[in-house]
Amino acid sequence: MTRALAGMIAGLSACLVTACSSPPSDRGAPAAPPPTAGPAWFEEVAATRGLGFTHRSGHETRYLLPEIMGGGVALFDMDNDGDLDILMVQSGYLAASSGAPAGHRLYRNRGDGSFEDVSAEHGIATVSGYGMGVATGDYDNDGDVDVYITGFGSNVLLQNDGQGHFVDVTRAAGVAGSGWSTSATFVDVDADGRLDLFVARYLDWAPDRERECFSLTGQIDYCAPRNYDAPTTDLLFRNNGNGTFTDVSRPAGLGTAVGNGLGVVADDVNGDGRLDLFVANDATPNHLWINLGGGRFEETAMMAGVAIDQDGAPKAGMGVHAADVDGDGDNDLIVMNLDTESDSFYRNEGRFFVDATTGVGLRVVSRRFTRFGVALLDFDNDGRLDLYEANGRVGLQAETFGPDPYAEPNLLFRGLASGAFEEVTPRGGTVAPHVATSRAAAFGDLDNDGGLDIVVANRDAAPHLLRNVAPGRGHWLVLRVLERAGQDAIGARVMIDAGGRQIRRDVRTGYSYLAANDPRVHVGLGDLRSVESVTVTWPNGAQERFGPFDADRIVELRRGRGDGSEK
Amino acid sequence: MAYEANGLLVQAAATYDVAVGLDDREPRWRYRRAVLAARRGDVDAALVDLEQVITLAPSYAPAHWRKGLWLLDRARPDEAAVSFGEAVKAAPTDPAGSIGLALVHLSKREDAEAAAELERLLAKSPGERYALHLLGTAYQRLGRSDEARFALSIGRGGQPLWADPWSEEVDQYRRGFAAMLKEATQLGLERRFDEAIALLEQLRTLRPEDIALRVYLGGMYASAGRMGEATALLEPVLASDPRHFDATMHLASGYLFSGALDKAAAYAARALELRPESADAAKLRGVVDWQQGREREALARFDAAATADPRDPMPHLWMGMIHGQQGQYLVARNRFEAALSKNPLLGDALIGLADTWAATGDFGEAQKVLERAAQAEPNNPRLAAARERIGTAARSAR
Repeated sequence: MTRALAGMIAGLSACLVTACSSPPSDRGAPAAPPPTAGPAWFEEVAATRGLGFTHRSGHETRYLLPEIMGGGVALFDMDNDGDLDILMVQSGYLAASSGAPAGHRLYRNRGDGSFEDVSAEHGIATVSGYGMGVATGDYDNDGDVDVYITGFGSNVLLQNDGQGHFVDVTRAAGVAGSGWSTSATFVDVDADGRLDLFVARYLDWAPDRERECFSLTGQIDYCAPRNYDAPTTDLLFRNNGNGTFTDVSRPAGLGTAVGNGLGVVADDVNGDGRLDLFVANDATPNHLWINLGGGRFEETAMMAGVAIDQDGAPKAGMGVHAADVDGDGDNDLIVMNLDTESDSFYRNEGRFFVDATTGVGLRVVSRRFTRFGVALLDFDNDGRLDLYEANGRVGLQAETFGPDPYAEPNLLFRGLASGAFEEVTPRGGTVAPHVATSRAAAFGDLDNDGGLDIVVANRDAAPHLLRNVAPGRGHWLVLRVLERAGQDAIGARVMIDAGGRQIRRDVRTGYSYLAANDPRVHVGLGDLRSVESVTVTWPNGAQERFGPFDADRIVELRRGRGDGSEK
Repeated sequence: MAYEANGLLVQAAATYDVAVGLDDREPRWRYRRAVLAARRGDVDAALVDLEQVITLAPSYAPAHWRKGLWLLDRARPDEAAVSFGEAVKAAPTDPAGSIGLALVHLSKREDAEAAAELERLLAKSPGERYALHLLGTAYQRLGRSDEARFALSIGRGGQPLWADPWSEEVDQYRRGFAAMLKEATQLGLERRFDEAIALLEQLRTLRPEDIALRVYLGGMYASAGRMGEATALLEPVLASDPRHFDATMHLASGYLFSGALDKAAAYAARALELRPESADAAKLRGVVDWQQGREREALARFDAAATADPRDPMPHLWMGMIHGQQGQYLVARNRFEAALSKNPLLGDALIGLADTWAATGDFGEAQKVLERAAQAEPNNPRLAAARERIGTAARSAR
């Protein structure tokens, strides 16, 4: 037996050696020159509008992995005044003393297009921890939006008093979590009318587990996740309805699979009425947690065709979004990946997904850059979903775009009638490409003009506030879909009947990367000046019809008031 | 190629330009230039170069399958099919062309044709994991779920990486600390410890103060069974940093393999103290417990390791073996099945599973599982003995 055992455990030695090794990272590719300029879709106005934030990764001498992954951003209406405010999540310093403020910043939208820093008086300035991402939702059903900030070590739940003042209730609520949390989303997984909380976690890392890695050119650099071989589990907190949550990760089944989680989106991918969860994992297969009901989930990504794409090996999954790109009534998935890897566009075919990245035109152009924040939204209001990708490297390369060796330009794609995407020039949709190490990108209509704006968080730099100035924008409708008590109906499905088309959109704040987004449903209408009706499928499956509505306005759809009272 | 191998890709492309100018009859420089162009997203320029390469070296199969892949990237599947067909003609035993044809079918949603192409290929090359991955995809689309699940699990991690001598020769130009470290790691993975150690010793002369390198080399000594040299390097590290997890683990595993079980147990216990959640530490401690005859403790450790890393089949395999030794065949069977759900090709789990069927008198099922083991891992050193053991038991039972 001993000899047989020795033979069998021979592999263990190699495994241990490998696990403890620091093989060099192997990244690098020069970038193609940017395309020639055309009309801009966005103008960058962060500094002029009062967004004076600067992200700090805390990098000094050692290359500590969390430094290359942040930061986050949220767009939400903190004070119920009808416009979106901005929360910038600071990373800070990994060696900071416990309780030291991270430096997150909250900017109130003055309603005139400008913002003011209200962090100190609204309870944000004192929040501590090394920040990563953010989720928003009204977890206590009191009609205002609460905030959950993820980070390395411990996460923070901030309860809103209705005026945009926040109190740290993490300990009482029981949602601190542990380890290294990244993207998170509030989602009512059991359809009980209370938002639960799903938290993706990256890997089992600590400063004393850091490795020494090298770029292809031999420079010391950040390691890739495979150098640690330490994927971890994600977290699910069930809302108890009394201000507390219970960690149900294990009983829900989340302990059956590990990954390097970075992006998450909740969506009913199989149309059974229950919200499922897709997690984009970095260098490990993605996870698709199918909601079985009864508080149980099953990981089915491989059989669903979304664990890996047609290229075989797992890619570096980061940001993610779900949207009905082909207009067939179900949501497709897009996942951002590392340079030299293409985006992964998974077309939902009901029983499974098909890798349709080539068919939608993203196979070649996407793989020049390392993409993080992402959204499939209609930026020019022509009725077709466009695509924005926020980019920035995680490893050094010989060729750079500027003084920040990790910086890259972002990308904007126009949705075509064929269902494919075409890159918009100028690159990124701005007059001159904004080159930065972009991470989170949050999306919403900041000035309530019907054009979707973008806030991009940039590592060790100021953010970009991209105001939508797309030429010849079409008509539009923005729907604020609310439950009876006034909370956003996160998870509701919205079908818009307009001009003979049925357009599906969803009430969702959690998508992209480390970001929380405008909960309102935005739909571009092109030449249409009205919609015939809007049918809302509430998270518990009940349906309600609203409308008709004229275009170019913001409409509140409150549950139980099927008349669609206009705001 | 030195530029390219060391990440200086702009310089590499410029140098290939010069090389093409100096000798435009040499296809390799155009080929390298095309690969670099495709990498930076300029597939159209890459295809132009590749046309020239194919004119100059029509029998070089990688030029054909690369052209096919790039045409597929440009959503030109019919032209891609022609290129993959040429790749098959140029290298009939190379799987790249056939897999490319299957990719074309999949892109056109000709799933049955893709499955047929891949089945033909796998009949000739059964171990081709990327082909299995694609076959699983085709089966899934065709509604053949059970077959899809099996093919996808076996094909996990398979990638379109095929022989390409004109690309492989670039690797020999990699230089520097990182390149040598990577090579040593690869040698260690191949269990060529002495060669790995020789490289790491060279690196230590460059960076004698590097603690991580010292620990890494110490671990390699331990894996090679050279415990004297391992302890000489690792003990001083632990003396200055008693919480050094990697050094502790290397010493534990080194002592385990050299048979010094008490020392192995002490270091393994210490490793688990340092990182109670570590699956590797739990596994190591469990193996030591098992070797020392403490099966109950070993089972608890393996159970903890399986919880900590649900990807790993080994704790399930070892639990199955212990339960099998204890005559708990149904429990053992569940554990072997669990191991196989993580890795369907794990020969030892299949052999263990066969043993449980034989132990409960179902010799037919045992034989079937043994056949699977022979397909999955034909060189498993325990396979012949298992056949003999189960065959004898079956004859005795008649």
